[in-house]
Amino acid sequence: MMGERQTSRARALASLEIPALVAVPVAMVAFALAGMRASAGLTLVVALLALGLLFASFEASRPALRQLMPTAVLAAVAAAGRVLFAPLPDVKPVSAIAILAGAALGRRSGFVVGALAALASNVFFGQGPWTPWQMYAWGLVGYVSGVLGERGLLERMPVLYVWGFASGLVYGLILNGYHVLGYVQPLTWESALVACAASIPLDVTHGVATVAFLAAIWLPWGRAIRRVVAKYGL
Amino acid sequence: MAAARPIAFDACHATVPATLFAGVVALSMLAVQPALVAVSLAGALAFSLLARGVAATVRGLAWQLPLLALACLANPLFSASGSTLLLKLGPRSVYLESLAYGATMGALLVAVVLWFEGAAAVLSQDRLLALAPRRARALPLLAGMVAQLVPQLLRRSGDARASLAACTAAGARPSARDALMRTSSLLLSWSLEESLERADSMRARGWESGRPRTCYRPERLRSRDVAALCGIAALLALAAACAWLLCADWRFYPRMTGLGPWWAYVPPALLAALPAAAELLVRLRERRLG
Repeated sequence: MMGERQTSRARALASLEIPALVAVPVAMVAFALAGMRASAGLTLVVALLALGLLFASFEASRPALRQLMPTAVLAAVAAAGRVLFAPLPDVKPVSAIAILAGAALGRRSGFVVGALAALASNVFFGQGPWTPWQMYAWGLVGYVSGVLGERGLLERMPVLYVWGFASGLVYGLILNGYHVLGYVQPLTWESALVACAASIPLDVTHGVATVAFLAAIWLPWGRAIRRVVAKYGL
Repeated sequence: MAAARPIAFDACHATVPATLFAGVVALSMLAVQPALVAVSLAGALAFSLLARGVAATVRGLAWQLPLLALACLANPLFSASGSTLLLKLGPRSVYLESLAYGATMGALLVAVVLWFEGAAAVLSQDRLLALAPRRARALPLLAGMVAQLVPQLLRRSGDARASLAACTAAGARPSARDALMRTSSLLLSWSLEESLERADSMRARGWESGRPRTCYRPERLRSRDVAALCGIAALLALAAACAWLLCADWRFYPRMTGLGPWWAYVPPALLAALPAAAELLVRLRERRLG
């Protein structure tokens, strides 16, 4: 009875995952179009709710201890990689590792790896109002990679590289949305485009760096993960 | 001399400072009005100076103030609007109202970062994990493991690089890219294998056995904590109502107007001053006893 209740709860939360992830950009656009005051704070509330729901869904799926460990390790490696590459602006391996995690461990683990990597690495860079947005953006990259991985699309290298590059732009678009909603007033199409255009070089650098990291780690790290999976019978 | 450490919230349950800081941050972020932002910034700065010390606060301000200046200057460049023309930069006009909005948002950013830093000083990782619901199993474990693994990986990356560099018998020195790949793959395999061994030893100690586990809780929610939580919730509700009133009156464009009644600033000011006042009171009492 208890197990049934838990399964139905997990199923209900799983069915809400995609609507929760989609609700964040929808809320951003809707609040911007409506010209609402404090729209930055309100969209942050929506982003926090989406994060909470995805974490609750991960918790409700009751992952086994041996499955939790690779998630923790990849999140820690992503956070440490971001710290090590900190001297190079926008060259960070987090998106590439979130993509690898999503493809290897599934969509929920991909989300958790991206989100926890942002949270843990900001211990070194400083927590602030940007932390939930980075958690959401990198979590989204990991989640979408999980969905693409389940359909076998990431096995095709062109698709992998295109998604790797696009993930940098998606991350930039979400962080730009937070910047535009919070720090540009009055908000017009022109001011939003000027603010987004200012970050294009950084977003392209992030996308190119993600492709380079994917090209470097996809095979050797995939081999390392497969070796551990075979050795320990996961 | 030891660095300053906040002590005001040591004696109460972690939910009390967590509620207070979450409430102050949420109210600061939702109430975009210059005077309210100034009040929040002053409260955050006072708490940071008292709880974290002058040196840590000044070190933080060294990067936060340029961030404030950047946010202040960015808005007039992206969005030229207002009625008081200050200057013209080529084709773009810089208006006082536009600059004031940028300054307000910059100050808000610094205030929120200072509140986060203050909260991080009060709520240690152990206290934060203790706030996780009893039924949550996977996420607190993951968060704790990631927090342990990141510094371990950073330390091990140095060890692995030094060991590989010392192995000169293996042939020519690899390129920087190859060395990086070798080190990172080695660290990944090392950490993955170790984590699985840790999972096995956790299982050997009864984790995942299916039986309900007892849990050591270092903090208990006492009646005085509940009273403090009720007081904070009441002050938060009052401050939120006043902030709503003040924000409804305030306009940045076309001209800055509507500061609102003075008494409406009292509850938000009390809320922002509460952490610093609590810290000051405890320190004064401690000094008197000492």
